[in-house]
Parts: sequence; C-alpha cells; structure tokens
Amino acid sequence: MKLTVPHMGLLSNAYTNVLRKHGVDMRPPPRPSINTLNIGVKYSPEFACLPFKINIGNMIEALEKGVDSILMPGGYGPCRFGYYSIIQEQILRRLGYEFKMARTDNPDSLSDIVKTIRDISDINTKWDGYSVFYLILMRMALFDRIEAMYFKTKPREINTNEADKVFSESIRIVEDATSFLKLFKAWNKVRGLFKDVRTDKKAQLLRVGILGEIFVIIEPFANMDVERRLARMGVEVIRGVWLSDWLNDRFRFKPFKPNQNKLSRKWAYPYLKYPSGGESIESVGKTLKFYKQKIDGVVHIMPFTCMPELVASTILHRISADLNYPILSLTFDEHVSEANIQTRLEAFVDLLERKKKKRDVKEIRYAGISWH
Amino acid sequence: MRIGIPQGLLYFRYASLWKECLSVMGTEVVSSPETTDNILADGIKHSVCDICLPVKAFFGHVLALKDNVDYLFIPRFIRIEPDAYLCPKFLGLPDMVQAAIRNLPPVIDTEFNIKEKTVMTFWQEVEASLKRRKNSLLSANMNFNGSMPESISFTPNNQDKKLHIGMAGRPYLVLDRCLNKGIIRYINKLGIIVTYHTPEKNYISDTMSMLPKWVYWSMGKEVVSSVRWMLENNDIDGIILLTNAGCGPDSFVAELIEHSLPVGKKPYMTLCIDEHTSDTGLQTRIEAFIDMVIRNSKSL
Repeated sequence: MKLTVPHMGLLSNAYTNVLRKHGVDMRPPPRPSINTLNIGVKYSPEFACLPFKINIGNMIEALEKGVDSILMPGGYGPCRFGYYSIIQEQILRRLGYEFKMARTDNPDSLSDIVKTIRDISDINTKWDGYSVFYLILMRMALFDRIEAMYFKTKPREINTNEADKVFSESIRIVEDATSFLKLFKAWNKVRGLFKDVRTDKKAQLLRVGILGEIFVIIEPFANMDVERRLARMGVEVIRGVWLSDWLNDRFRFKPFKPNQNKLSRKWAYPYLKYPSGGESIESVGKTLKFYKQKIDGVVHIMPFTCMPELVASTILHRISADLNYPILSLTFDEHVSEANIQTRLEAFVDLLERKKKKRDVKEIRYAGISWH
Repeated sequence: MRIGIPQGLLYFRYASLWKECLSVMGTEVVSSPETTDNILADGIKHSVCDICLPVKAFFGHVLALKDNVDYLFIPRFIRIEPDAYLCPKFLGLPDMVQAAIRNLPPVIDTEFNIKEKTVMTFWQEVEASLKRRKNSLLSANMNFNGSMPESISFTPNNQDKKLHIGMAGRPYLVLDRCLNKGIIRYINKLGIIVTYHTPEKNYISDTMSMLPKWVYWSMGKEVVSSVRWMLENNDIDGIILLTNAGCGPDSFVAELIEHSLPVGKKPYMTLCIDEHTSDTGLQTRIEAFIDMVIRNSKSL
C-alpha cells in the first residue's frame, strides 16, 4: 500500500518518518506549487475554497506518481472541510483514477485515529499506537516551536538569511528524530542553533498578529508567504493559530497549555457569541486579545468564499473601526497575485510605522518635551 | 411594542410561525417590504465584498426596518434538526448584523438549537428577552412545525407549451422575487409552469442514505432531495438548480448532485447568480435551456 496524505503545512513532516519506521509506505505528494494549484483549479467546483483545490492538486500529483491509497480526514460541519473527501473521491474517480480512499470521519476521537494508525502500520499493541500518535503530536508541536523561533529571530538577524538556513536545518534535524529520546536531543540542538544566530537584540520592531483560516495560515504556498514577507520587512510576526494548538484543544497532549478555543470564546464574547465554525471564534477573540497586548496590527487571512471567516471578517471590520485598530483582511484564491499582496502588505506596514511614530511623539509631548 | 422581522433568509421558511408566535406574545409584528434593488444596494454598501447575495440583501432589510421598530428579531439558528447544521453564516448572523450596521434597536438573538433545547424553550427565551411579564398565551399546544408548504407552483396565464420546469435551490433565493432576478416570472411568461418543491422528512432521509455520506447542512439536504424528487417525478420536463455566487454549501451540493444522482435523465442546468448578473444573460441561458427541454420532450 502506497499511502499519501495531502499537505497541510509541516504536518506531513511530522508523521512521514515516524510512520515509515513502522512499515507504512508513505509517499507524500510534492510540496504545493503553482502546478498543484493549476491542476486543482481545473477539476474543482468553481466556488470550492482554496484548500480544497490545493488538496485535489496534491492528490492528482501523488496518483500520477503511482500512489494507490489516499487518507483524508473528514468531519460533520458546519464548515465544508468535513465533506472534502467525498467530493474529492467522486472527482478523482470520474477522472479514471483507481485508488483506495481512507477516511477518518471523526478527527476529534483519539481512539479512531489510533485505530487508523494501527490499521495502516505494523503496530500490534494499542499502547504502541497511542505512543506513536503522541510522538507525532510532539513532533508537530516542535515544528511549531521552530517556526515561532524563526519568526522571532528572522527580523532581528544581522547576517542576511542566517535564520532561514537555521530554520531548514532545524526542520531536517527534527524530521530525523523518530523516537522520544532523539526528539529530546533534537530539541536541545535546535535551541542551540537558534541561539547562535547573531541578532540585534535591542531592535524595537513592529509586531503584527496573523489570524484566519488554519490551512491558509500554515501552508506558505496558499498564503503567498505572507509571514516571511512581513519578516523580511523587519516585522515580528505573531501567529495566533497553530496546528499544534488545534490538536491540543482536542487531544490535550500539552496538559498545561490552556484550551485556545475556550479562551477565544471568552475573549470574543462582546462581538461574537457563538463559534460559527472553523477558526472564526479564534480570529475575533485573538484580535481583541492582540489589541490588549498592544500588538501593532493584525493581518487576517482567509480563502475566498470561506464561510466561517466571512463571519469573522465582517466583525473584524467593526472591531477595527471601534478600537481604531489596524486590521488587514486578505482573501486568497487562485487569482491572487504576488504583486498585489506585496503592495498591500507594504502599505499596511507603512501605516503601522506611522501610527507607532505618532504614538511615540504623543508620549514625548506628554512628558513635557517638545519633539521638533 | 413593535418587533421587526427582516424579510430575508429564514423568513421564507418560518414567516407565518414567527408572526403567529410573536403576536401571541402581544407585540405588533412588522416585516420589511419585499426585496427591491434599493434594499439590496443598501445591504451591499454595509457588507464585506465576498459574502453571499442573500446575506447582503438581509442587511438591506435590517437597514429598512431599524428606525421603525423597538426590537429586531434575528434569532441565531444553529441546528433545526439534530444531525445537521445550518450554514455558518446563520450561526453568526446576529453578530454579523450588529457588527455591520450601527444604531440598531435591541436585537433578539436567542439561540435555536434543537439538539440542546426544545422549540418551546426557544420561544420562552424569546419572550424573556422582550423584558415583559410572562404571557400565558404561549402554550405547548401550538404547532411549532409550521414550515414550508410542500410544493409551490407558479402557473402562467397561457399554458400553450404544456411544459413543466422544476426549480431547486434555497428558499430565500428562489422565492425572493428580486434576488432570483425574476427568472420564475420570465419562465412563466414563456408559457411554462414552474414548481418549487420541499420534500418531506422521510424522503430526505431516504435520499441521504443513497449518498456516500449524509449532507450536514439542512438546506443542502433539501436541495439534493428536491432535485431527486424532480428527477423521479414524470410531470417535470427539466430541472434548474438556482444557486448564488459564493454559496459555500451549494458549491459542494451542486457537485454532489451531478455525481450521485442520475441527472443525465432530464435536462438539468445550474444557474449561478450574483448582484452583477444581467437579466439578458440569464434570459438567453433560460431560452436555450427551454429549447433543449422542448427538443427533449418531443423525442420522448
């Protein structure tokens, strides 16, 4: 069985090597590229959301390389994601591909996932199944930590691209760590690597929060690399949505980290009283939280026609007006152009800089010193 | 006390029930006028650009009502049956309206979730949020299931062609005479009967068992089932599925219908409209479709 799972950020890096060690023939598709998107757009319904199109492209690319099984998670709404696998299977069958489609329709249930892992691999005992799943979760958490460290280091680096080199090196190190002991060692090594990057520690940087739909946030191809673009402009990116947090809300593998969804519900209450699917509640709640934390602005990203994020986007417009808080809403689909995103981000960062300068001036004036 | 009900979205399903229950509580019920181009234009001004057409129109209705009423009735509909949701936009509708439009009267945004509470509880909560003394007229004997009539037929004055077109889609799009761009009226003008059908519950669950996985949007379920009903009904010569640009569930439901139901049996067309759709473009497509239906019915 040659198994493939469509990409979602660094998730495939977290499970591929672990499952391979346990006898699963994992064939991850190529990283999403313009080719993936073109294939996906060709065969998807017109108003399907961007993640669906990238998934379909990924599946076809993998099937062309001889994969015979696809694993796709599902769910029961209200977001469209739960129905992805059904429509995708129908589309692929109509195109004449022959394959086995495995679905985990209950991605919130731990026992279901462990059962799926045991079905596809040579793991015999239940205990081993749980421990392998826990290892995958920990690896995912570590990848997220690496990305967070990268976003902290990159805008402060002194030698150009040193942080990028360390980042890809760290991803490689963690990818090779397929046991808990190795993972622990890898973590220490990665921390050392990031510590060695020469940075300007005194730099006062703009801080921008990133919120929105989870797939588009964690898959750099889908969001035109918004986060790295901002980092290159010397902005510290603070991502509000992490895959490991999403997993932690369900499986509690990091018992001391509070449930982000519940927290967001509390924060969002003045504006959004009920989570309307997807990450809408996180987008609203964490925007309000970021405002309180005096983070300079928020970039809200979502795929075109994403139902939950449209609710959030409507509300974010109001929050922005009420609190005089800069929020940039970016919508992504196959027609978005790089120049558009770059220009809008630059204008947004300019706006934040001006706003910050103004605030500093005010503070100096209040201290009784004239600024000019 | 005046309560305003915007004439959009679920109004098309529950209007009579809402009006009855609210007037039993001793309030004066006002609904906004039928959608007009002005109402839609107002709504578009107040909404984000890529949200769907019916929600934009709904904002317009709220704007038309807000200065004349003491309360706005925009309940938060989450589930109207235990195993399905409504579209996420219904889940956030009261919050969206309050965020998009300023200077609103108090909004009654009681949650309707059949999985967690009964319809009676819902109405009691609505009554409580009106901040009045308990009114005993609201009783459990009332029929809370008042919903859509099963079939609505639009019959033209001269039925010279003896054709029958089935129109499937969401009630708030198909039955709204402005949002559907007058296509029902136009088809009638060509001398053709149009039928809109909402199947009964057993038929819907039967249809769901035919699919690889049941559709978890209540309205999506109905759309799939009504297309199936039209395919099986011998009176109907052709089917038009009316959706609007950016409708999330329909983008999948339309695909599901094409793959899982034998739509090749009858002339079948998906029409997708938004606020920019021109009448002429639609009329050309409809005429071409009708020509196909006529050719098909002759060959039978």
